Amino acid sequence: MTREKTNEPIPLFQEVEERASSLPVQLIRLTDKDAGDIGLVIYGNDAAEAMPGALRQVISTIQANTGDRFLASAGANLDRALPRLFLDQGIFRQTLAGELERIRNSRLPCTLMLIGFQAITATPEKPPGGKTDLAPLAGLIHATLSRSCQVGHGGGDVLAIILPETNLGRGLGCAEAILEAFRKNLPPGPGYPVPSAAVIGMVVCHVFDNYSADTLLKKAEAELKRAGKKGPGAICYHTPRPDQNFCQVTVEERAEIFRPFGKNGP
Amino acid sequence: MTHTSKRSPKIICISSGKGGVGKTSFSVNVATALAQKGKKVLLIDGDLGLANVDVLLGLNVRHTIREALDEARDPHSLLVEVIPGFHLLPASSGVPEMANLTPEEQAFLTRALDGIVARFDFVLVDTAAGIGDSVLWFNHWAEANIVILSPDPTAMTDAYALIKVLNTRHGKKRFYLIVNSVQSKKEADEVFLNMSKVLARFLRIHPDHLGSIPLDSNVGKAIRQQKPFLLLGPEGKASRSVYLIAETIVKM
Repeated sequence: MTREKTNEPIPLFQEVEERASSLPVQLIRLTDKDAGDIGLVIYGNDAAEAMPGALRQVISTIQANTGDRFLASAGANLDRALPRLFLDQGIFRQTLAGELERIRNSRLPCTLMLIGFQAITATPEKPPGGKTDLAPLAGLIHATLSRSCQVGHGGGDVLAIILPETNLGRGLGCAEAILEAFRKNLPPGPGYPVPSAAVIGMVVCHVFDNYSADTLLKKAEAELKRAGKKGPGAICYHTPRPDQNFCQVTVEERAEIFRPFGKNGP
Repeated sequence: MTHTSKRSPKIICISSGKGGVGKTSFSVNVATALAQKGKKVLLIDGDLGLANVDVLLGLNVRHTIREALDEARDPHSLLVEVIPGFHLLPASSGVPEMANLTPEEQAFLTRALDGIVARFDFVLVDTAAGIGDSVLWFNHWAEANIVILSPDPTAMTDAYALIKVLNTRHGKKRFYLIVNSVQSKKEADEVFLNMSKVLARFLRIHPDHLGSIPLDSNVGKAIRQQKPFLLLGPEGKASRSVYLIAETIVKM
């Protein structure tokens, strides 16, 4: 799936969406604010087999017209089809360690965000306790956030996101944008998480925090737990206490510097 | 980037916090003094977007450090010999992008600088004013940090703030203070003592008093003539102070 701006109008994706709307599948349209529509994710249990011949024909036509700009990848594992969109847990941890190393040079903060889903809708297709397929949500997150974010598996039913060069203010904005994107684009479907039940825990990491990847993940998990207790839609965060690395010259310090400049001057 | 070899040069950063306290004038003249003592000196104009060193030296430079970044030009070819033993790596003037380098550009620049410093005994960096990114990373790169201040509250506050940032965020613990534009030795000692007390009390830093430079009308004249005051008036009050400071630097 490439990120070139398509010259063909939206109807290509619209036709697929229309034909797929009556099928037991979910769709996410992937958009990039610079490149426009960049792809369409069709997912569901046995999605490939569920698609009738007419829909397959439409997809073939799209491929014929767009060449390598539209890659259809069938299969139940989206993370295998689009590995860069959704990193597995091990690779995500390595990526996080790499980002922490990078901020030692860049000196810009990064934010680690964990998204958990409190209540999983139990359906005949997905009994309680079944594993949530989080990979399709990665596409939605990429469409919502900047290209530089890294999305991966945070363990269990948790999505993890690295937001480079992101301070607390931007991180909170991203968290709210993600929750809004979930609410708008993911109506509850069979076997998928209830988007309104999402909670977010995040940690902002600065160069002087000297956190390891494990420490950062533990702190983010603690914030996720805190958000879980607060309830659906909650966002909890941790950022260093101001007095840990605060450089601002205090009133007391200034008073001492100015002491010789009292009424009689230095 | 390491400077652990015994043969590597002494890299000294000269900053102030506040602008206009005499960083560039001091940098130019102490570099001149060191060269006159037979040392090989490189002065880097660290005010990357608003070059001043070449102005103070009356030089018309055509090629600047910007070309090392934009055109991957060999930094050796950018060096200008001011007097025998004293070379300048000039900065650009009126280029805001140079004042806000990306981390990748900073890394590239420090690699380029590492490649040219080996042949010198002393590398001095005259930084920009303030506590911007380039000021901090030049100070982080250097082994020795000189902070220039003058006896007025704004200069002292800004010098303190600069030291606090370098200590808190970059772990720098040793600072050499120079008090510039003093009316008397007594004033210089009082200013240094006051700063030392504040630094010791709040940051547990004990600075070294590298020296002081008195008010001297030769300094202003030399600046207007775009020459180091050491060359215009080697016997002047300011010149004598700079020579003393240079001797201390040699022994650092």
